[in-house]
Amino acid sequence: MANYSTFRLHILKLVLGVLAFSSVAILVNVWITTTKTGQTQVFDTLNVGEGVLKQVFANRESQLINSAQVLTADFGFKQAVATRDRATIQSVLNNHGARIEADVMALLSLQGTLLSTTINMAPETSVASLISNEKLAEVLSLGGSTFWTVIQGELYQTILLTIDAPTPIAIALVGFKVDKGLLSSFDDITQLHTTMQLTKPSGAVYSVTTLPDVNRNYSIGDLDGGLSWLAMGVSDNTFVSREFALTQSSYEPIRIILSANVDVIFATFKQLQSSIFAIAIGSLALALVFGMMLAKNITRPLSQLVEITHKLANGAYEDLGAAKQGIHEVNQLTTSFRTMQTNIQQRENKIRFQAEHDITTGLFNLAHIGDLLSTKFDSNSPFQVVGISIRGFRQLNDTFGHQNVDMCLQELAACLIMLGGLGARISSHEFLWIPSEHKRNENELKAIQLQLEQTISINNLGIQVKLTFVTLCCPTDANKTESLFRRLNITFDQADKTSQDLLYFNADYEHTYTRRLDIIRHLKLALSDIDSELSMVYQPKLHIGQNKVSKVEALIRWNSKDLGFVPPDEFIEIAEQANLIYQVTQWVIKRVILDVKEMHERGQKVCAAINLSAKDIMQPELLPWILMQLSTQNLPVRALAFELTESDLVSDAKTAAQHLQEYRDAGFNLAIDDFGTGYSSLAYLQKLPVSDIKIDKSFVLNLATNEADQKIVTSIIALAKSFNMKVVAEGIEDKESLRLLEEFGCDWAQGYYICRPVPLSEFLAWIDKRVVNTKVNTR
Amino acid sequence: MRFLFLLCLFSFQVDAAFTVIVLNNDGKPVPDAVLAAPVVEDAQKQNAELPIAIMDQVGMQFKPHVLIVNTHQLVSFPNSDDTRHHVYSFSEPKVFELKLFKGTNSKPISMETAGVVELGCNIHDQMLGFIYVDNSGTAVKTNQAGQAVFVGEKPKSLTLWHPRLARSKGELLSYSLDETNEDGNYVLLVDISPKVPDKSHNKFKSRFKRPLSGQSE
Repeated sequence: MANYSTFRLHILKLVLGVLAFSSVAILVNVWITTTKTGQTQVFDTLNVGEGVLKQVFANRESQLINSAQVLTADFGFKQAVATRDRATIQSVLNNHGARIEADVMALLSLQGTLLSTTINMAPETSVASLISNEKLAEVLSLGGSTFWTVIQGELYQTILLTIDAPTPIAIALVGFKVDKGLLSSFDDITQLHTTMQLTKPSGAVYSVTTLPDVNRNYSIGDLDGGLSWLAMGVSDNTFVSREFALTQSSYEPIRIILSANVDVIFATFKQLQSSIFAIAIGSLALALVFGMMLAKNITRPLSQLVEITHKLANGAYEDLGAAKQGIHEVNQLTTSFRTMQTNIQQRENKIRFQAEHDITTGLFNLAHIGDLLSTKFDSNSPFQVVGISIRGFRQLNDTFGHQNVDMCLQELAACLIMLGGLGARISSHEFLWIPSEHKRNENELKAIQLQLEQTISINNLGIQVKLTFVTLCCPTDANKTESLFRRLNITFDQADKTSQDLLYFNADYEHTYTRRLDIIRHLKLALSDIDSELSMVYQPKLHIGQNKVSKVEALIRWNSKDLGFVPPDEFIEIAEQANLIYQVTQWVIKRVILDVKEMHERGQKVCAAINLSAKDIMQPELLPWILMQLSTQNLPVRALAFELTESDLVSDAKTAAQHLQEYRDAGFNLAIDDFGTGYSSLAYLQKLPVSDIKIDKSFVLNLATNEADQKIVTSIIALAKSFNMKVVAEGIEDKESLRLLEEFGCDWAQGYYICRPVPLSEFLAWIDKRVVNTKVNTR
Repeated sequence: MRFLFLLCLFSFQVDAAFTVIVLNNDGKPVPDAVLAAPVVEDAQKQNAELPIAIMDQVGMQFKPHVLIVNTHQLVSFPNSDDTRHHVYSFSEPKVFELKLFKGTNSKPISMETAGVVELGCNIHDQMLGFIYVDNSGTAVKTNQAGQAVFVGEKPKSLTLWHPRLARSKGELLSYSLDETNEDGNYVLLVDISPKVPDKSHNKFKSRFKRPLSGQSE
């Protein structure tokens, strides 16, 4: 919102700023220019007025002089003056004065005394008293003169002329009144106001003016002063004046003041200024309105877009809606947003689909069905979960090819979807189905199984899959997604183990599973230390012929603090499944080597046989490692021997034979354990580079009483002899069996009758004791 | 100077005569100055015997400018110009008015009273002439060199009149003849106003014209 208002503000600032600046600039410029022009015009007007007025006065004076001269040159006038007859002279003055429209006429003697006049004057203010001697001399020398005077409160332009008959006999005074009317007629020419000022000899100033009374003082006080442009609109002093003399004569007391009415001259300018001001204000207002509209047009869709992007970011894909009209660019932006929204939506849908679905079958994947199950668990309603596993999936792939099997899976998935409910592929060969409606009973499930197992025809191939169904009832069997999946797997495993097509979950299955996990966990811990819960026991092998013990079989024992005694069969199998067997083997070899070293140090040069699995044999680095361990402990190769289970070697007899040969070459004795239980053939026996054969204890346990066992044992011994192998019988529990074996020609005997498997210390004690006994009673 | 000198030599040759030289303040000769000895009662002559004096009008001017006549002497005003003249006088010794047509002779006017009669023409303002009416019988007029020759005995003093004597109408100045200069002449100094150059037209120009032209420069 802050950005919104800022942007809008920026536009307004820009528009208004630029406009305000230009308006002010124009206004100021116009103001200054018009003021200057106005000033110039005023001064020009005054200049012109001054010139015009001077010319006007000059012309008027010469006209007046001319008419006065015509008068004084008149013979009748001269004649009348020459008569010196007062009455005649008076009448002549009146008469001739009227002819030339003079306002005052007077006759003076050559000495300047007043002889006659047309107006009544008091002697002290008489015309004669106004005429100085200099003026008189000027009149007599030049024949005439002019001067300005005030007579009876009126201003007169006065002409003095000699009356020549033919030399001067008197002086005629002709006066013309200068009043407001006359000045007004000048005003018509100059378009200015005229003021005439006469300074009397006494210093008093007399003036005639056409100025309005109110302005009189201001204007005359502001003579030739600078014209302030500010004063134009504001000041009351609307006149600008100029004062000048009519002549350059220094004693001339008459001055003229011209006053220009600034108001009149500036009226146009003022109008211009005010109209520009009005235009500026108007355009500012317009700009404000348009700027706001523009800002609104831009910012409203933008803010809408911002809102939409917020929604987009949150994953809401609503219709953008906005920006139907408005600015092109913003519209484009909106369109782009729309496209982007659509694309994102499509992509997200795709991604989500891929994230939630198995790509091959289109069913939900493990992660998504997990989420769905979580919500189902949260809803607390009971539901059934059916796990479907394809048996022998790997073989299926090998047989029909990956692509065909995938298509087969798709068919299966399609059938599963047809059943309704939720379907998911949770591993390569495992599916999950949650029936939507009701819990399916065993029969229904069997029917579905049959339906799904029907032969699917793909590319002319009839593929028939075998399915294992397991089912759990939630929330009874599992109330969490993780436990559900765990128990599903456990049930799968159980079904697999027990080869069942349809299996319901049982809590016992999980117990086995957890024990297995416990074993793995604890075994890892035990393997980390050579002196640990694991230990080795040794069962002596009696050389029958010599009645001497020089070989033992090393057997592993695990007395766990937490799990109690764990049978070797159990944890060895788990270790094999958990890929821990190699570590177990290494631990065993290390331990046995240490024990054997101790035996050797005690004088018992015993060879200890260690059970190896086929996987161990296949590890190429094991043999060098064993040799290294032996040499580290400074033990000969004959201190160790290895026993291998017959069944283990069957799967890949040829490779096994190669590896075993290496052990043989290294000098180790190798024995086949549990001989007779597997599928050993004679040819097979021949190929294996073994030195000993251990007859399985199942043939030996009841040897004394079972004749069939006797025959088997006899033939095995015979067979071994023919291959030049030594024979070891294990599981001897009575004296008779031992006697029979001796009779059959068996080389070594091992069993509880001789000695049960015992720890090292016990073994050492036992063998010491036996040596003593043997020496005492020789049988 | 040489001319003046020659005139002086010549004057010595005339017996019972003396020369008076009239100079203005600048030392220039003043012509048309009328010199006369003081009036002696018995010296008056009969009018009838006197000839008619001529005041002609030639080239719009009176000729001579100054005419000396005796009292009761007649003055004729012939008109030698192509135009009419309206000669008048408002002077006290003789007020008269004559309308003179071309080629017509007007009746001569008798000057009864001594004094100076100013003559003007109502048609031609520039025309100015003077008739000096003498009752001493001795009046002489200075020539262009400002000289006048008196014949007869030297009086104690002389009267002097000139048209441009400042502000005087018919006023006579009196000079005593005491000393001669080295040439034996009497030199009289007179203060006369300068001659008005052109009295025919505008007597004075408008004084506004000069400032105006000055201002336009």
